[in-house]
Amino acid sequence: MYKQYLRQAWQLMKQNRFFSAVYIIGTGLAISMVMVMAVVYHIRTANIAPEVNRDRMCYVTNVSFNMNDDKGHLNSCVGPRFAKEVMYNLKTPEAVAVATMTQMMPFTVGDVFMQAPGHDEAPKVSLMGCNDQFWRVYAFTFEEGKPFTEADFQSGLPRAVLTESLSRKLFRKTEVTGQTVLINDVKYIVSGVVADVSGVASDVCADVWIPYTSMAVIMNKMADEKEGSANILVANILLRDADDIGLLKDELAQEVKRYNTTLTEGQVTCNDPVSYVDQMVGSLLRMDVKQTYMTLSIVLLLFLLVPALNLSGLNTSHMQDRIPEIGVRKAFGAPRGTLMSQIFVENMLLMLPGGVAGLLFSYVLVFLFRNLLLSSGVFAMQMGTGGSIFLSAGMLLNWEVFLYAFVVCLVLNLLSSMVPAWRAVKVNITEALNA
Amino acid sequence: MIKHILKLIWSQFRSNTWVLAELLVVFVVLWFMTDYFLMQGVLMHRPVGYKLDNVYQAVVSLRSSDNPSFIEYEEGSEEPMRNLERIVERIRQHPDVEVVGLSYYSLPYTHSNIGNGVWRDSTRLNIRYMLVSPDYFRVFGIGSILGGSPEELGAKLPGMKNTTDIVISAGIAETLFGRTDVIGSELYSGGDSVPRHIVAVTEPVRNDEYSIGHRHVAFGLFSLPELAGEEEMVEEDLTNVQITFRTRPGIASADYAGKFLREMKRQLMAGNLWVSDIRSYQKVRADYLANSPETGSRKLFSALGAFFLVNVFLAVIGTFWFRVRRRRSELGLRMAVGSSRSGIQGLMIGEGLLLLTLAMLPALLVCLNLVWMDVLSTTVMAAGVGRFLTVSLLTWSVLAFVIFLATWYPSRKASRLEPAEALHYE
Repeated sequence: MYKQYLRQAWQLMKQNRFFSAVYIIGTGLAISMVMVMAVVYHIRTANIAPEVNRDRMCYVTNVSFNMNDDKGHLNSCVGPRFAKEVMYNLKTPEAVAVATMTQMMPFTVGDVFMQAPGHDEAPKVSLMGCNDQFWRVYAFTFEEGKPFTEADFQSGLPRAVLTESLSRKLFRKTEVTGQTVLINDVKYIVSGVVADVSGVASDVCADVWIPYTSMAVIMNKMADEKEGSANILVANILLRDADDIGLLKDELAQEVKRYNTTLTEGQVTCNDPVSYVDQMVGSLLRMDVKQTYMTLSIVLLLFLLVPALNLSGLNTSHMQDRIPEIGVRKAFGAPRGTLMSQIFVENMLLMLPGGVAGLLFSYVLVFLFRNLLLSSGVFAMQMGTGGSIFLSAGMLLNWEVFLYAFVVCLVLNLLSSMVPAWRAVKVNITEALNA
Repeated sequence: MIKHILKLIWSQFRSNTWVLAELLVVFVVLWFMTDYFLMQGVLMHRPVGYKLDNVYQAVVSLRSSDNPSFIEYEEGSEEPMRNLERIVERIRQHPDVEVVGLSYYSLPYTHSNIGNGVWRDSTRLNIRYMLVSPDYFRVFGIGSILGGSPEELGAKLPGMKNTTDIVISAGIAETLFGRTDVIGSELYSGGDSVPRHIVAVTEPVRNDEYSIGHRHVAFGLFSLPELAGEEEMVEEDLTNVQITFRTRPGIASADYAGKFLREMKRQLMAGNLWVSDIRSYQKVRADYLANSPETGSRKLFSALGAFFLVNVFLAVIGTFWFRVRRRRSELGLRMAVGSSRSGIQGLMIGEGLLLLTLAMLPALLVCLNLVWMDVLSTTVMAAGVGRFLTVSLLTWSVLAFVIFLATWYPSRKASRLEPAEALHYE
């Protein structure tokens, strides 16, 4: 039966080349726009190496230090002392990765230049200070060597992990474990080389990672109550289970309370842990999460509604041409349901090539607009990490994205073909035959 | 003619409903996009005030304290400040350099700035306070609004303390006084109890093409010793002092900044301070604008606008294609009774444009209601009748153009029909 429909639909497609072309372009366009949103959503939220645990991640970013007697407050990120005395004490999380906040680096650390002794090349690099658990939370691909160890971190030893491309730039090779590099003229020893990280993974993206305990700029403030509590770090927390976030919130509040009793100059407040998705969505349009979802749904609705109206118009015109044919079918006893499902299948057949074309086109769009769609924000782009956003096949080609595409096709088809089809099928047999 | 087309549209209302609905939705969406683009255009074409040709910035960096060649100065030592002055002097003595300006959080195309407030009567205005050296005005070619040269303007800069003078930008004068010839008028600044006298009004200046609030600027004299005393500056803070310079005309080349840095690298080191980068200010501007969220949203809106227009194009071309086929007999009859070919084509195109106009009426009602609900941003311009009409007309024109393109081919096909053949279908 369906074979018959398909053959018939194929014949119709060939007869009405113009209609078919317009229809396929129309669906392709609609699907590509929705797919851009889907692909971006996927790349931003799915577990993509090295951020392989996004579904279990949450963040503590904002720490405020309120000085006693209303003498003002310092709003910043996590400080080294706060990290040591609060974040590392938490029992709920599986691991706590603490790293420097990329956006704050230019203001506190300034430009970072690297050089290998005996080589001329001294490029400006993007540096990230982190702890040893960072390497447990995030899955980097080590081409060479190992991450720095807990002991290295605790004693603030000068150890560095480089990306492959930076290593090539500095040494013209990647077998550099144990070699010395100069970071702003300070000697570091390379402990490992990792594959380049796309700017898509904005939490970890950098050219070189060092223990933040080796950075004077941060550790000088360790004893300071104010800047030791609020500084330039972020805590990226890996939970055992995504639902533990409530538990963590309570435990964190307890720990902060205890920490505050050790302070004499003021009191500390910090944000409740925010899950990865909320953090991402919230930073997307710089609005709160609810508003962002609202805006995105309106956009999504328009993306579907306008092409659906468009295709409905085409279908109506097409159906009017076919009313006589439908009349004949009805005269020979075809029930409405059969006719409707035939029209549905026909439209689906027209829509699938549009869907494939649309999906491919959406990849092109995502690639062209990647800096706009995938970078973590304005500051990231300003520091040039926007340029390092590259996309791998794994990010684009996977069954989730294909499933999104198919569902969109289905919805669009239902929206655009069913009303005109119903109106055509409802026409009285005699009138239809006369048309 | 219009009445005739209206009758035609009415008689095929069924097949027109979908196109009409789509035109209505798209009209509303495009109306808001047009408004957005219009406002951006108006904003971008207002003067920024800074002349950036031949201007470069020298970025000063500080060696970190764990660096082996780090020099430990005693607390309160003036040596770090001297080091900065040495670097400035060496830039000034370079034969290509015409003038060097210094400033503190006071450069255009940056995100860092110092805020302050001024009062006139009971009106308070948030302003940007710029600390600049007299030569800053020469570097960026900023004169006074009454035609005074940058040098004269620089000479009028009031010090940070013990002064009753104030130099303001044309933006402040316009907002607070409604005019710019306000020299000698009084203003209160920050927490002052005595009024200040306006001694000079500069040309309009803004941080960048997109900025709205930052056109309200007051200038003060940048003096390193005074600032260091006031702010308890440590060596680290010296890197916030901004050095900009203008080269003599005719020197600029594509990689002049890089050449300058390579040539001067050794000389531009003093104590723990060193110049890590020389940037062409044109490039600073280009980078700032390219990475600003406004540029991003403009690109995004352009893509969305294109998407909706292509959809309209497809809808109209598809509908009219079928229409021409179905109405072959009618068109043949028209030709037989003397319609010219261009008349037929005009009829079809007119039908498309009239459809748009019909959709526009309810769409404008929707827009009007949304404007009523204050959905429109009024930061650039108040939402008045003029703006509403301009945007409506522009939106109509854009859509009319697309519809013209979409109806052109089917209508041409219609007009090329042979009357005999067309009548054949009757």
